[in-house]
Amino acid sequence: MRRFLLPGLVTAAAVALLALLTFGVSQQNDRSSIDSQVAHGKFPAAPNARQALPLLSGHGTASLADFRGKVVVLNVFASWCDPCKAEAPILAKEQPILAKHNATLVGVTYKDLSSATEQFDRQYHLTYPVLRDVSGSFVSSFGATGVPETFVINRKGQIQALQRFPITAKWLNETLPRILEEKS
Amino acid sequence: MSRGRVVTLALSLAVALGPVAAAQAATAPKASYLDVVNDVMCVVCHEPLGVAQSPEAFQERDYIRQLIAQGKTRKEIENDLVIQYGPAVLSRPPAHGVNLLVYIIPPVVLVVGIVTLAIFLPRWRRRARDAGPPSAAKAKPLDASEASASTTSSGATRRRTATSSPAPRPPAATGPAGWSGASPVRARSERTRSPRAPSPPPCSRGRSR
Repeated sequence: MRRFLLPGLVTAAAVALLALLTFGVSQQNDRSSIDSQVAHGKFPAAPNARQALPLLSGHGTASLADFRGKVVVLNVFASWCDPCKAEAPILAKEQPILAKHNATLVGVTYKDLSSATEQFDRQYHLTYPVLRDVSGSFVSSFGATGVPETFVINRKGQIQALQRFPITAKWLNETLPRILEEKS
Repeated sequence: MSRGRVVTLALSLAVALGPVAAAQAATAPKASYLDVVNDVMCVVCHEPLGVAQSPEAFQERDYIRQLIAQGKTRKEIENDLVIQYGPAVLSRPPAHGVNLLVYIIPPVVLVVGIVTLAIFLPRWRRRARDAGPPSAAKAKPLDASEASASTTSSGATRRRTATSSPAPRPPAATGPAGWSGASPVRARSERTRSPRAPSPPPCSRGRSR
C-alpha cells in the first residue's frame, strides 16, 4: 500500500494540474469559431443574449434579448481608443437610418470609465443605447480582444456579419441592406 | 494694541480661516499615488499600471489622480476602480470564488511537498545506506597478504589500483550515531560487493546457458 503512496500523490497532482489547465482553456473565448461560422454562412446565435448589462445612463439594465426582432449593430468601443473616435461619426450618422428599418445600434464599452464614455457620447452625438460590460465577460464571449469590433445581429438573434477592425461607411452600406430586408 | 483688540482679531481670524482649514483637511490627499498605482493593473495590457503605456493606462492614471485629489483613501480608490473596471484591475485578486485557488494552491502544494519529503526522504536515505555506497566498499584497503595474492590476477590488480586511491571513510560518517557498520544487512552487502569475491563477468554467464 505504502509503495503506491508517492506515485499516487504525483499522479493526483498531475491530474489536478491538468484539470486546472482544461478549465483555463475552456474559459477562453472561441473567436475563430464565430468568425469561421459567419464566413461559411452558418450564423451562430449571439452569445450571452440574456446577460443584463447596466446602461451607461445609470438607469437600469438591458440585454440583447430586449432587442429581439430588431437588427442590432453591436459596436464594442472605448473612449481611449483612437480608431473608435474615427468611426464614431459614421455610427452617429447611421443610427437614424437604422431606426427607420426597425434596427438599432447598441454600444458596449470595453474597459472604459463611465464618465469618459459619457463625454465621448456627447462629443460624437451618439444617441443609441450604450451598455457597460464591466467584467468584460460579455464582450469576451464574442471573441473580442480589442476595440473597435462590430457585430451585426439579425432579427433572429444570430450574428450575420462582423468586423474585427474599424468599420467604414462602405462596409455598412455593403453589409446592412440585405440583413435589414430579411424578416424575422 | 489693547488686550481686547487682540482677542477680537484672533477670534475673527479663526472664524475666517476655519472653513478653509476644514475644507483643506477634507480634500487633503489620504492616499499616495505610487501606493495605489503599484497595486493596480492596466486592464487592457495586463501590466502593472506603474509601467503600462497603453492609452487606457493613461486614462486609469488620470482617474486615480482625480480620486486622490478628492481626498479618497486607498481603499475607496480601489473600490471605485473595481466599479469602473471590474476586479481584474486589482493586482491581487479578491479572495473568493475561483480566485480563492490563487491563495489556496501554493500553500497546499508547499505543505504537501514538505510532508512528502519528510516521509520519503528518510526512507530513501535509509534504502541508499542499506544498499551501501560503492565507494565505501572500494575504499577498504587490502592488507599485504591479500595484496600479494591478488597480484596473480591481472584483473584484480587493476581493480585494486583503481580503488585504492580514495581515502577510507570512517564508519560514523556513513550512518547515524551509534551505527557500527556491523549490521547483518551491511555485512552481507559488503560481502557481495567486495572485490575479494568478484561476481563472474557477464560474458561467462552468457556462455553457461
